[in-house]
Amino acid sequence: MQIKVIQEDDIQFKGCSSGILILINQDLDFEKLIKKLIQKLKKEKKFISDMDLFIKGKDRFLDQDELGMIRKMVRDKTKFSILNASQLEPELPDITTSPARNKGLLSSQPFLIINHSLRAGEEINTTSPVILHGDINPGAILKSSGPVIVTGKIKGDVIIQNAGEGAFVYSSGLQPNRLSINSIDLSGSILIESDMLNASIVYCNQNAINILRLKEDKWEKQL
Amino acid sequence: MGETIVITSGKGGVGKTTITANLGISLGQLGFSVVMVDADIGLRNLDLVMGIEKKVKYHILDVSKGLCTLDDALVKDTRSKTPLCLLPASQSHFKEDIQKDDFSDLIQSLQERFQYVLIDSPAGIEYGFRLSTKDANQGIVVVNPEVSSIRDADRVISILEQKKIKPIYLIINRVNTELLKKKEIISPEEIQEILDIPLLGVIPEDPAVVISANQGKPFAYQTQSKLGELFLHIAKKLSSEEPVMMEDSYKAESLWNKVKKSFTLKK
Repeated sequence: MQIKVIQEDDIQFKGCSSGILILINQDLDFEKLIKKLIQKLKKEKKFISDMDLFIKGKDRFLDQDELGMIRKMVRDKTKFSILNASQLEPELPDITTSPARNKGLLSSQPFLIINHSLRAGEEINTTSPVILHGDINPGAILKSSGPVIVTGKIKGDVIIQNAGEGAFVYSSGLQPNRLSINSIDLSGSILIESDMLNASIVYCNQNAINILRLKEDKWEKQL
Repeated sequence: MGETIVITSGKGGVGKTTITANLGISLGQLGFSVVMVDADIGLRNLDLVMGIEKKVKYHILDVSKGLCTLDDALVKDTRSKTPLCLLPASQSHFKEDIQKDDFSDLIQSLQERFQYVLIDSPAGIEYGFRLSTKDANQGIVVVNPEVSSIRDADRVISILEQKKIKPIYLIINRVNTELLKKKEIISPEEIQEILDIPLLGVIPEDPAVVISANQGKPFAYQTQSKLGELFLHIAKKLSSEEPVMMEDSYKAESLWNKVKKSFTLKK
């Protein structure tokens, strides 16, 4: 029987614009590979604790079953959450892989550009500012450490953490299940059904949430 | 190779099995050969809704275990002029009792013999759902006008998209026209806007559906009935490469109700 030994380069951590990309040799013994991966994550814990982790096979993306098992085992043992690296290379590379560098207010991170609606059960957790072309549906969660621009409607959760005074959320219709900027929650009671129809900017200023709404071509302050 | 379509929803009790049965019959009426696979292993129902439960001798697990041939297990619906068959689920096993590869082999054999393979998925997103969606190349998501059903459908659509199943169609089932008029339920337009997939049809809530399911007499065989006609339209829309015009059935039903009421008042 041939015994396969996991080599150092069977699990590689590489820095990428969105966080850390973990490359694994998916053809090796799965259990040993996972064990080694968990050991390595624990060892590098200090350096990667604030970063988004993406995983990929050496020559292909992992399928949902593989990813599900890895995510569960890693989460149980280390509390790290791992995302599929396919999110780094979506189907529309002409838009998604050209980072729109920004200045000053928006920090030096490139935008994470998402070209689809977030559906129930989907969760994006990123330190980058986000541009999402689509809606955030009820049951979907977007967590970011930067400004969030949603070209569609927000009906799910948007949580911006540790983003400083310049943090804001733009959407073309606002009826979120939860909207929080720097731990300050926007109360759902101040939003009415018709709010969905107006473009809105929500921003945080002096520890309070402010809302600007576009009404008849003019931005009006609601809060 | 035939088209393999999974009928799914996330939430249970929205009408997947009834829709699978009637859609299968309607596709048969359009001249297609169709096989329906009951993938709800342990909770077999499709045979009852089809009214052919007495003909079931073997089931899907018997085939996968080599206890009978695929032909032995396929139940033919003799009411159909074209080949219309059902591969029944087992009533006494669990979903995990069938291996993914065995299920895939069965679906592949059926794809070679039938133009349409309709897989009636169990509720949820666990093993049974993963099994049902594994070999599908198209999806139909059934939803009721309820927030919980819509949210579950959204989750299911997300998973189907990740599995690269395309196209994914929407059927909105059990639309109560009276509540819709009073704006007490979410409208089909709103549901379609949220879920953002092509709409195959809107099926009004009708006691005739429950009655036909209980009697094992699928309404799709009554082509003169409104529901039978509606399913024929849905089947045309599904099978045609050209766009098929279809009036909004729930709106038409509402108008029909108005007429019915006016006659009742005159009495």
